[in-house]
Amino acid sequence: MPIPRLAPLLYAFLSASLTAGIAQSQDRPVALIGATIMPVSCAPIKNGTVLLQAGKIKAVGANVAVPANARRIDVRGKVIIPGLIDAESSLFLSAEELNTAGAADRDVLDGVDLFDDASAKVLARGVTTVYLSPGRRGSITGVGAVVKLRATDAIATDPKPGYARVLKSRSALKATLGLSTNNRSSSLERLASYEALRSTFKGAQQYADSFARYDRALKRYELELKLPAEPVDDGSGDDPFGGGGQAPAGPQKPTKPRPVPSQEILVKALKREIPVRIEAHRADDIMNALRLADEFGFKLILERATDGQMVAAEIARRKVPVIWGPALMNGAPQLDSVDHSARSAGSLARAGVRLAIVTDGVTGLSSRFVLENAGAAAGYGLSVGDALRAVTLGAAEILGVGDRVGSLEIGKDADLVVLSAGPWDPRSRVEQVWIDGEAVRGGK
Amino acid sequence: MERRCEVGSEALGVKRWALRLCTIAAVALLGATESHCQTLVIRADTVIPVSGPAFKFGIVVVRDGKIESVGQRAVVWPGARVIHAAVAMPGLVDPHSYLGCQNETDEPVDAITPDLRACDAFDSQAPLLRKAVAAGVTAVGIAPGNGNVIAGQMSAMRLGSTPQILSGYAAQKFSVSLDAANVQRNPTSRAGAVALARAALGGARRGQSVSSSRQTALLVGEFPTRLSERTGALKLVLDGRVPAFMHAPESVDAEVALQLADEFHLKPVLLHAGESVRVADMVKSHGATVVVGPLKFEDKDRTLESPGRLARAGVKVAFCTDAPLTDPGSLRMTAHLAVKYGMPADAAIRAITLNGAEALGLGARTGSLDKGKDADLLLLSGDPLDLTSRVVAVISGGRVVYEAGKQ
Repeated sequence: MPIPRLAPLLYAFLSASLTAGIAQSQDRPVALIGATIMPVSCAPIKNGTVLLQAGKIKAVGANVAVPANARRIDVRGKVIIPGLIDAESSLFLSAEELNTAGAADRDVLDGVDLFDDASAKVLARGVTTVYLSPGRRGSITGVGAVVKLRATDAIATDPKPGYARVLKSRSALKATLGLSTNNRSSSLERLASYEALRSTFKGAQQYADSFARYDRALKRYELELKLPAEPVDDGSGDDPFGGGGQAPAGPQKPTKPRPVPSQEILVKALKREIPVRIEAHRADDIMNALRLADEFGFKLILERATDGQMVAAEIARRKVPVIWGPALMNGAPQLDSVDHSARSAGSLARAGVRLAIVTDGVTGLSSRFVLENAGAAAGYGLSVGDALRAVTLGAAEILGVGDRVGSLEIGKDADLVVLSAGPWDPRSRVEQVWIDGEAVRGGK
Repeated sequence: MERRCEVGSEALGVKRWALRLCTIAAVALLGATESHCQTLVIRADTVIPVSGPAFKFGIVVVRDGKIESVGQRAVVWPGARVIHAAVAMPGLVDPHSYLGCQNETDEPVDAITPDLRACDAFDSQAPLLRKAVAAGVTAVGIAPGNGNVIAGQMSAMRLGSTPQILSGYAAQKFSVSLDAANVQRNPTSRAGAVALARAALGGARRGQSVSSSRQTALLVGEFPTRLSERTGALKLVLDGRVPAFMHAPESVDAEVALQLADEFHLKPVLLHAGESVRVADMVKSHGATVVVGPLKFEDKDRTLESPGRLARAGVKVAFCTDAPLTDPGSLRMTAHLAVKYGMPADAAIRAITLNGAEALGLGARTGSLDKGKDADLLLLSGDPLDLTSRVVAVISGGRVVYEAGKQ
């Protein structure tokens, strides 16, 4: 029966060549030719070319040699910018997720719905990477994650479905200081908030110490085990009946402290393995956040910093970045943001503070306008260069993914947006969006 | 007596000595005449009058609180202050907000309160007023909330270092939507709201007052002056002398509002009526202005597209902020988003200036750069629809009320 035996061979041959073909098309370079390129990491390049291959940027510049087998795309007259980044998004998260109290070990990825249709709208405006933040309810609310968006039509064939791919999980711990509740606050409440956060970190220090003590005690125990047992003279030899004596006391094995997941995360923060994002609005709360970072040594990132311009020098001195936004207030006035000023982004930048600019949206859809939000900040005094950086490379660096995304540089992920005009031009349209070297919008 | 020298650019070289003589003479005479506020000469690379096409290298002269001239002809006003900017346009008009009076103008006990006046609750020291001025807003309509069928009188305010009342009773606010339904009192349904509105307007026609609250009905009987205030306020709306701002967040609200306007010959302005695009033909045939906004980052595509669709259907659109529910400086953001989602640029500029002024009945006073109008100007470093353009200066009533770098 030759045919059934041939069938598996034929199948193997076909599938092998098919995958080879797919692999080849994925490896086939793509060249976007003739646009004004804004890499963000360096000055704009006129009449430039970006070469993408295997999901990465292979070359970018004015005189790029385009390989013969490359797929060429004419983008003359267009402008190319890196894929945009929203450093604090509600995409994939429901209001309930954001409004319930959390704990240090609460991982935002456990509560996401990766099939949120809003992501397609966000992607269509050139936003390719977002940070998913746990809510703001409580002293410590959880850990967030950086995810990259994906096209919504190709997931059926993917082993890991969902409209986003995790780029960095457990990427930051979120805490709050001095937030008002129901638009009410008092110095006592703010003091309690500070004390709560401080004792949380102190507790984590003691937890870490308890393990260190255990390690030392274990070593001592093991050492003592090797020593011969010494006779213990407790007077029992004088008793002719020899009763009631205790056995000679040997070394006691120390008990290992029980690992607590939330404490483990806090210890990571103390060791600077993950940063701590503290949301603080008032100048005194910002100073308290800086003091906590000084005392416990964690890597601090400030969120909002509404009064930041009043203490900009202190923030800059410690090289603490700020996740700032929105430029224009939205919603009924809140006590925390009563002194909000769109001008403060410019003041902070001029003082040398690194910025990421976010929309602070109530829904995931708000992430669509991360560029417009930054533009509004530029209208109030931030330089346009700093504004673009705050939603690209600056945001990527603050999120800890600056080695992968945020700028058009060789070796970085091929995430980019082709615009019909400059990023600030009101007539500018998003024509193509590329993620990991694949066209998820246009470019086909 | 000020001597004014007009110098054509081509003749500049020949008449330079004459110009110098004029200037010296004028400076000498300056002490004799002190104008009420300093004359301003604004030189802009682009002037956007709104009432006409934009033009390059223009000069706007502001004198005694009014626009003295708008054009390209070089003028020299000795003693005038010269301000340069890339773009000069009319001061922005926000036809609907709760600035300075939020939560202070709602009387939910009675659904018919036409004698309430928003400017009676206006706090001229409200901090957000400064934000509005810094964003270029020179005139704003302040209003009662959306919770009463006939909610009260909107006032038009001039913003500046000291806000002024331009018109205490600029418009009457109506709400025949479900937002006016309230289980604590009548009405509890849309039909009930319309019936009440009809009764109140019909009653005003006949000189009677109507109230949905028993207490107020009793009071009205006891105090005849109160009666005349209520009917007097509504009579102005019936005559069309004062526009009727009708809160219509759904398309059915727009239909209902326009039918009421037909019945009582009102001058309707549909408020928060982006959804009225579904009945755009009806809106257009009534000549009603639609006040939309604010456009927010979380709005659905359909909401963001509605101003563009209304404008392209020939409907007059104006943008509002509903401040402080949104940033008082959000008019340009609303215009920017509307343009990105399909609104023509010139319609968007008109929507933050002249259309809002006309909706408030201020069309003859402000909203465009025309000779004789109030000198309300916004000077920018670039295209107003480009969010990165910075405010250089804001002029309200002929006075510089905001200047970049001097706050």
